[in-house]
Amino acid sequence: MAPQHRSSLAFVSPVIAILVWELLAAAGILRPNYVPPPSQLGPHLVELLAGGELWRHLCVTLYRLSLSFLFALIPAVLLGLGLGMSRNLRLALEPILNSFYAIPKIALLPLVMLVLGVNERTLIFTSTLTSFVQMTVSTTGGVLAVDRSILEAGKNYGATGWRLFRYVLFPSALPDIFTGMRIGLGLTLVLVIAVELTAAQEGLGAFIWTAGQTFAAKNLFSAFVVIGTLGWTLSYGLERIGQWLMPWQQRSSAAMFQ
Amino acid sequence: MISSRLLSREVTIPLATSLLMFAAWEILVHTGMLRAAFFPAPTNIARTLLSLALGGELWLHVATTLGRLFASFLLAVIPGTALGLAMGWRMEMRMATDPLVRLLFPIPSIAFFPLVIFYLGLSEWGLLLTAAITPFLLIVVQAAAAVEGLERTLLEAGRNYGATGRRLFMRVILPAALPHLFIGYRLALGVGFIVTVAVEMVAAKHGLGGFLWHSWQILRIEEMYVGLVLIGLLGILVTYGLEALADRLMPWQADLLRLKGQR
Repeated sequence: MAPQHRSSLAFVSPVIAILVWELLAAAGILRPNYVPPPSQLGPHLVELLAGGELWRHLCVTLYRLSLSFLFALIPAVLLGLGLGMSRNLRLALEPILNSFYAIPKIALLPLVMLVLGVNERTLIFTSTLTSFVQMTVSTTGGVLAVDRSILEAGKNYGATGWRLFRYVLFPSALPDIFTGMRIGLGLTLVLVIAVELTAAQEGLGAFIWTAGQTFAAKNLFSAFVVIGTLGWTLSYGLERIGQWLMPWQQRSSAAMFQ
Repeated sequence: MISSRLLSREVTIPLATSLLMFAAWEILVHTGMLRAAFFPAPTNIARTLLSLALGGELWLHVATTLGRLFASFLLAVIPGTALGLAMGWRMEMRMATDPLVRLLFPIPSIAFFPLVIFYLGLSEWGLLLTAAITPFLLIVVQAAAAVEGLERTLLEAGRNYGATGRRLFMRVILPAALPHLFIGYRLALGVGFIVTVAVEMVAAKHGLGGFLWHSWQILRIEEMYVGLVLIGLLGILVTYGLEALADRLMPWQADLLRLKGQR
């Protein structure tokens, strides 16, 4: 089947799902204050965003997300490159790193709150840990997966030290580093939302939690749509950027897990 | 021979750094450079762990979390595998469901929680369903990709040997897709564990997440660390235990399932 044909078909089933939802609501089977129909939800969402309330929470979440990610990025890539290149460093740090990798980082929230207090720094630091561990592990894996023959070829052409790293090793590991960033960003979004659900007054996580607790169904659904769109944009947007930056790299679909 | 293996760098360096870290921690606490109120000495944590373990209540929390993880995994794995395989196998099925799956998949797993408990209340089902959604989607995506990615020659060979329909599916497609399914299961279990703990922290009395949160709230710091240690151990079991199992079951696929090979 032609790709254009398939991509136009991709809209069919979501549109049908929305129509069925609307019809069920119109027929009175779904009660609007329990499951608000799309036709009411759309205007409500616009109003919430335009009125600034939901917009403000979105900005807070985006701010936390980007800071958590950026703080982790450079240290994680540097450490990952170091771990990938030095066997001794890897042996020394892997037990610690692997145990951190296996702990759901949200479980560290109480400890971080204990040490740093309940404030903005705590929320961001807990989310940073997630990005950091994920990107370190992916970068290390990327360096380790670099084809030996490529390195040998580079050496035979006279590349050593910095040149070997800059022109051979780093570009070869780049796709894995990028995948790590993508997974890291996805995980960080999960963590930011989780932390906001648990311990914050502001942000999309806090907003959706309050909406659920006060039975404000329209707010609940609106926030869900915004969070979903955010996750969606990050996931597919970064995949696109990756394809654009590294066209030689085949797209991978299954790695977008959260 | 044995002594030389035991003294090799693979064993000595990780062991040395781990021991060094714990020793430094212990010493820093005792000299007062690390505040014991924040970072209790490892020996104190171990002692608390031991007394709680003998008390029995701790095991209830461990069992609750494990039970939830297992139940939500079952909720995800059976329909997820079935739908994913069907999507990979039948074009019509794929066209009908793929867009919906792609729409839902990137939504942060924890965001489903407020929505689910809005309908189900703060019930056990609410927790289980929340922890099952993203693993379910992940398994669907992975299973569909596994069948789609099968080599055509394999299918042709199967057909040439007379396998059709059910036989082709059971004897050729399923075994060939199994390693990829397994990757999906492993990732799903990891995600399920994260969501289970998060949900327990927010909303459950029992389970390790609830225990952790409760001990932080009443500032029983040693108990909080015990909770953290147990969550870590379970996490290690979930992350690396399955990897070891896969090595056993499918030794020829060992590299495929490596943690570091996630791309």
